[in-house]
Order: sequence, then C-alpha cells, then structure tokens
Amino acid sequence: MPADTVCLTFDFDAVSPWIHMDDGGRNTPTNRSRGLYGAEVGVPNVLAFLAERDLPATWFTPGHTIDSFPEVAARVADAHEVAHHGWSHTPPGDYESRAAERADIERGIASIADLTGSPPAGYRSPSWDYSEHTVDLLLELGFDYSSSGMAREFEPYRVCRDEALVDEPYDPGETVDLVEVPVRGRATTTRRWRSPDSAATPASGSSSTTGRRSSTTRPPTACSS
Amino acid sequence: MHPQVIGREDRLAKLGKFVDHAREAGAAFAEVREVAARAGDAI
Repeated sequence: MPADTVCLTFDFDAVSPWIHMDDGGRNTPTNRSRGLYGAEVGVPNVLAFLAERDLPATWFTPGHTIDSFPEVAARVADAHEVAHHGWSHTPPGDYESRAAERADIERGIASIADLTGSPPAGYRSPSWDYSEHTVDLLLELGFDYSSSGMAREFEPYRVCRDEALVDEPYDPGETVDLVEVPVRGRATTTRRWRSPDSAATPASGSSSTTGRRSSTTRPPTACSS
Repeated sequence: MHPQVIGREDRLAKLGKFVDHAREAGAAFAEVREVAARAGDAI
C-alpha cells in the first residue's frame, strides 16, 4: 500500500437534511428537489464516474435515504462501502435524550444491515459533531471508526472522552477504541481544490460546523492520543 | 462531497483532475473502513 491513500467519501443525504434539520425550517419543495437531484441524477453520475476509473468510495448514507431510495442505494451498496450517517440526519446535539439518539442510530444500522447484509463499520455525524452521548453510543453499538472530527490533517487517530469546562484547562481525557478518520471540511472539496495547472491560489484553511448547544460543559470531541 | 453538488458535470470534471493528479503522485484510493482498520492496528 502506498504511503498516501485517498478516501473519496460521499454524504448521500438525499432529502433527509431538509426534512430533519433546523426543526424542519428548510423542509420546502425546492430544497427537497435538491435532494431529489442528488438521489436521482447526482448519485448515478458519481457511480458512473467511479466505475469508469475503478475507484472505491465510502458513502455515508442516512437510513432515511436508504428507505426512501432503495434502488439507487442498492446500486451504491453493490460497488462501495455504505457507512452510517444517522437514520434521520439529525445533528447529535439536537436529540432530546440519549435514548432518542440511540434509537435513531439503531434504526440507521438496521437500514444499512437490510441493504448490505451487515452492520456498518463506520459513522459520520450529520453535523460533524458529537453529543455528550455519541462516542459511548458508537462504542456500545460496535462501530470501528468515525469520520467526523478534525484534530489532524489526514492521519487517523483515536477518539477520546475529553473534558471542556469553561473555567478549567482543557483535559483531553482517555482515548477509546474508536478510530477517527478526520475530515477537513470544505478544503477537501473540489470547489476549493485547485489542480496544479490552475493559476488559482491553492486552498487553505478549513471550515467546520458548530453545535447549537448552550452549556458550560461542551460535548466530547475527537482528540489525539 | 454531496451528490447534489459533486454529481454535476462540471464538478465531476474537477474531481477527475484531482483523481488524475493523485494517481500521478502515486497515491492509492481506498474505502474508509480499510484505512481505519489499518490505522487501528498502528495507533
């Protein structure tokens, strides 16, 4: 295996974000039509692109997408890894309780298992963030890796249960048996990447989403061991 | 990447340039589970 490995990942959200995020505030026909384009046009285009180049990929897919677009989800699963992205694409910090978050993750596992015949190895948070329960739930439910954190450029590391009290120094806490394969926000997209023959300045920096919680103790985040 | 964005022809053309560049540089392509499994044994 070469020293440098590229993982192409796709968040096959379809219509789920518009329905399940922001308390449904963006659940409108035109927003949903963007998701329909993704499911019915974008995904087939991407699958053809990958097949032409014999490229593997990982598709973080909400269970809602699998259950809503079973035929195109099956085409994805026939050729690529399907990983967890919530059942409902709800940001973890938005669940009303640990039980509600667990139920949604379990429902997503069931959708993937029905599609592929086995539970997913990986998880990507729908908001690239965790609640105070997410890491423990991922461990309890048997995930091998998450791809949500950003504590390194590209190198995988182990997730930890950190403490982030506003009046105390940051404590990275103990590491757990969950590999984080970091994401890098918009800097990894082709919108910001420039080919070597381009006159444009190479992309720099990255972006991340922020939680909407208001608390003196922030949810655990991924960190290095 | 989101299919409703990257699935458009002009975006896929740019992704194709990136893939060509990575391959010319000697990089391999893999699913995340493969990378995670390999890393899990090393970290």
